[in-house]
Amino acid sequence: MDDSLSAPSAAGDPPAAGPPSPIAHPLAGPSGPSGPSGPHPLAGHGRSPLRIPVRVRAGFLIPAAVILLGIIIWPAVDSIWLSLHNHDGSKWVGLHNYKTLFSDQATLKALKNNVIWVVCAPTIACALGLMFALLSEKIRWSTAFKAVIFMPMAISFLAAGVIFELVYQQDPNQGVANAVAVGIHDTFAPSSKYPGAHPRTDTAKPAAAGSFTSVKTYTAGSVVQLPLVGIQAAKLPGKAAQAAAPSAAPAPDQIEGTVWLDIIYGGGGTPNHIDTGKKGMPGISVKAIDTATGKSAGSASAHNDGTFTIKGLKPGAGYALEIPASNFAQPYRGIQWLGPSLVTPAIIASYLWIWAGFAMVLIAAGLASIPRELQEAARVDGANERQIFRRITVPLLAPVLLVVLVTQIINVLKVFDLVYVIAPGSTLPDANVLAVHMWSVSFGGGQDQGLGSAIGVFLYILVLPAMYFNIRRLRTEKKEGR
Amino acid sequence: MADVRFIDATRVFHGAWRPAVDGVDLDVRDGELLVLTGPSGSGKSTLLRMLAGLEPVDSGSVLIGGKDMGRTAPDKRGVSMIFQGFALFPNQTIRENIALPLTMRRSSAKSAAARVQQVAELCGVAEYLNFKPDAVGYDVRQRTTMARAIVRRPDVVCLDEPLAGSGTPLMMRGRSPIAALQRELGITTLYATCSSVDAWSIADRIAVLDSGRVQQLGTPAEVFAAPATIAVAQFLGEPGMNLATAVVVDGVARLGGLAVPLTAAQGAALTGARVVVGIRPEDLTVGADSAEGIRATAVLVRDTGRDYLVTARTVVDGEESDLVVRHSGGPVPAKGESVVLGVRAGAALHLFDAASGVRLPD
Amino acid sequence: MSVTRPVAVPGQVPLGTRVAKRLTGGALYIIVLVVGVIWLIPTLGLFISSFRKASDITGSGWWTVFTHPAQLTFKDYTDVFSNKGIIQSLWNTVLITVPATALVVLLGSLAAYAFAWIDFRGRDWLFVVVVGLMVVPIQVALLPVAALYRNLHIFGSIVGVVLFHVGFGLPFAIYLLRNFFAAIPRELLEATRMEGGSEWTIFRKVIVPLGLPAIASLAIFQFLWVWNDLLVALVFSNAKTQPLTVALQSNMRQFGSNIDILAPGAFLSLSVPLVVFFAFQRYFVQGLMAGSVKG
Repeated sequence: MDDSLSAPSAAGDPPAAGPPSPIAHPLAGPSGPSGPSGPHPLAGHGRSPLRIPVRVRAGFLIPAAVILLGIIIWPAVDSIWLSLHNHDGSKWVGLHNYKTLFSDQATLKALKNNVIWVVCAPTIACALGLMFALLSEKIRWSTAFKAVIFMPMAISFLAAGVIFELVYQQDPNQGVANAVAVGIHDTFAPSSKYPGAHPRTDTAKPAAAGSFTSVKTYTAGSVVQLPLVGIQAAKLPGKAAQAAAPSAAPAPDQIEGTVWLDIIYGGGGTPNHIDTGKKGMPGISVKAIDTATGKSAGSASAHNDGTFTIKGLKPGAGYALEIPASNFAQPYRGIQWLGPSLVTPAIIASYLWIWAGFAMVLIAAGLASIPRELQEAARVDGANERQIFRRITVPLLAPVLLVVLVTQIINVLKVFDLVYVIAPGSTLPDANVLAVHMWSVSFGGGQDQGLGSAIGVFLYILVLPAMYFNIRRLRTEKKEGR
Repeated sequence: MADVRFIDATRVFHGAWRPAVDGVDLDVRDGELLVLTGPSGSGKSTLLRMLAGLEPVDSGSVLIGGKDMGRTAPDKRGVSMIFQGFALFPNQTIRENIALPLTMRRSSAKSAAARVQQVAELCGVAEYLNFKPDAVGYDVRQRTTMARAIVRRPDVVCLDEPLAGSGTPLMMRGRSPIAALQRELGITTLYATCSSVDAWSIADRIAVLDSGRVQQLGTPAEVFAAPATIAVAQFLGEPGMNLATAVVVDGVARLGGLAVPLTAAQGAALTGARVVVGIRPEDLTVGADSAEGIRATAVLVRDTGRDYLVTARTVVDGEESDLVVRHSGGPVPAKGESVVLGVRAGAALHLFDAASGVRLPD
Repeated sequence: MSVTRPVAVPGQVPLGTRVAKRLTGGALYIIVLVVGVIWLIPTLGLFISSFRKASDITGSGWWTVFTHPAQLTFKDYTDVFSNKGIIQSLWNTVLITVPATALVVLLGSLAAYAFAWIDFRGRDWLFVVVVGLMVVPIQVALLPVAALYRNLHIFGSIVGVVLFHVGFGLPFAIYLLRNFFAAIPRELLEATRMEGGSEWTIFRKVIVPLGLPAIASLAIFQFLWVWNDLLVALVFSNAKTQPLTVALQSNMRQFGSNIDILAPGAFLSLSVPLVVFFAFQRYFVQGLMAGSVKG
């Protein structure tokens, strides 16, 4: 990318060709070939006084070559051989392992997850990177911002795994993700004040979905007593006051009543009776259901002393009282991040936490390298900012985005540590990816060399297009003289 | 001290169809400063690198002090080289840079230090010895690379376009120390440069190369006065020589309205032949409308400060060609004005064979 | 890709400025702040958790330390430092990382020099092979190398882990260094050759000093890669030679009960790379840019 880095010219390369000679070649006679008709017969004829002995050249190359052969090249070939054999390599099974690869449920799940990974992670990483790169160019302390976003790159996947295991803890008192989720949830849907409270069965019986309906039917103008039990007196809100009896004679179109906790802190008292020490349950809502129509005719919520008044009823009509489930709902416990359905997205999120910085740094460099003159020229020609972004920035940034994308795809195909570390044992099968599956099949108990090798070879085939991309890019760079 | 001989020296790069250096025969006298010049790609650098041992000699031979250097390692040839861009190590001080040839030869530290000091003083960099190359100016870097070149007492110094890329003012300042030092030390010096102005101001002799061959070898005055080929004629001089094709009729080469008189011998030999007539811009005049001369239109007038360069477009035999005139004194033609070009009295005219480009005998 | 390219060109007003034009002042800073906080919180959580007792960690969120700073304790760290297994694995990590980095730098720069400056037949073709090897997944080599190591009796040894890291580090090393070495001016090499310098001299006196920025980038990358590795060590090390990552990983399954080892251990494991990262951020970024084709 930098023009100052010129092409390598080994000792034997011709000097850089300058502009074509302005001089005609009047002497180009019969002694010299007059056109590119193959190499000159003398080419490379002379023995250079600088000739490097073979053993010296070998000394530079052989150590690396031996290790590359032993650790990558030969094993890669041997893997193909192993993948055509059974679990301990003793029997030729042909393509059987590859058939298993595409039929075995566990492997298919891993394959499916890999597809999700490859589709989501690189694109989102790219999008986040682009966004952060654009943001960071706008702000003053962009160096600090970039360092913060980029820092996870230095952290091991294992440490990241521990970090995200903490983040994703189920208990909102431990996991920050659920703490936030519960916080947000409760802001929009406050949880009930009396989870677990319920009336005695002689006053009200459980109805649909956790609500309770009174056993008796009340006519408008009567008084109702609704004692509840099931929670500790200490859990009552501080504003709860000594329960009070409803007024003796309600208006004909009203039902009055009291909802109270039928327990005295420390014990004592008579059941179903408002004793001293029993407190009202403020905020409990009570509905009056018209027994004739089955529809709600009105509702009220209890005061601090537990009294409530339902107004606007038809005098003389019969009503059942319902205490809706919302009064007793269990508190929201957050999201099961590492459960079967969310485990893969959750791990992908942690992957993005690590790799968005990588995309950001590369894209920021790409943005910085776009010549300022181009956009200025466009602006002079009357282009607006949107057009400049679409017509100049995006096309010029495309090669960088492509590089980021390809790099990420290769990364994602091979992702192992994050999944292996973060996914709890119980949901590991749901989070499985090929790299992890390969490990479990070959080392983590499976001991099936054949299938393991087949997965390895399959992963290798998947990255082949990326390999081709890299090599082509290398060729283009060479052509451009870099 | 030693003389240098190239005998039919040829270098063909791997896979090339044309030699970079093509059968060069060249004698460089002991203590001489020979300037190799020619357009880029003409083989100057390759020739120097063959002498230094950085390129093999594919056929022919290279002799230093009468000894064939074909298989001799570069460090055993007594040749040092000043590279384009100076090739100073940015991570080492000026002192370490100058001492490089000595440290590589494992000279004793004491004698090396003394020699570096001596050479540094000679080249005028003694006060910069502890600086890194990036911390000093262009001039000091240039002197440093010269100091490095002579620190090991070479027989021959090769300078490969050492001033390329620097502007003219630096070049003018830069040239003097090279020539002065060379004279003082009497080291045989080969100096490759693209700039023809460089060539004749310091050279004992110049060799003009093109397409890997020596086109002409001689003192600057000789080469300038009588260029051997069209290539040389065009290359030397700023701006280069005007060239126009003409047909010889009755002992006269007709160039538009201008009759170029030939000697009797030329006239006899060339009647009916097509020749290329070369006239230096200095030898053309811009005159008022008169009968004798080349009718042309001024298409470009450049003020050089000292004089004017007038580019005049003329049509000779139905072919458009531009002639450049160096004009001083007298009214300056305006752009678009019709002019008549004449030849200054006593001017040298150069005749070349149109087919081969070789200079015709006077 | 070059190695010396700066991350941003100074004095250049970036294009992004235009794009983000609509997000003015306050809103922009709020977004940046929120993103920054989101990126910091996970690490901060681990950091704080590592200073809390296991019972506190499982009982309440780490953020409660801001209201109850009395929870903070060094006990987890003193426990970890007196845990023989963890200390041994930390030591193993060093024993694996240092030679694996040094070897890759040495062998990689030797080969890179040959690819950049020594003319030999098939050089370009071999370099294409090296570039191709950069993306080969580790998985494809695990089983055969495991078999090879068993035959050589180095399965489970530190030597085996190191060798594997060197093998998979070399293609990237050669690619990165070769591109940088090739950009060293040819005249500097020839000036040395003119004075009788051998290839080895040129390598030591010219290539290594002038290629130092790229070598630093590579060393940092390789260091981080090996230090942070889990998979290779999981396969090729045993209980005695396992590095910190593997030792911690074995505690992951009982996350809740082992959190007092995991939190300080993980923080220990990431603190070294973090220091390296902040100390050499420039080289790290350069290497990243240069080697972004690596998988």
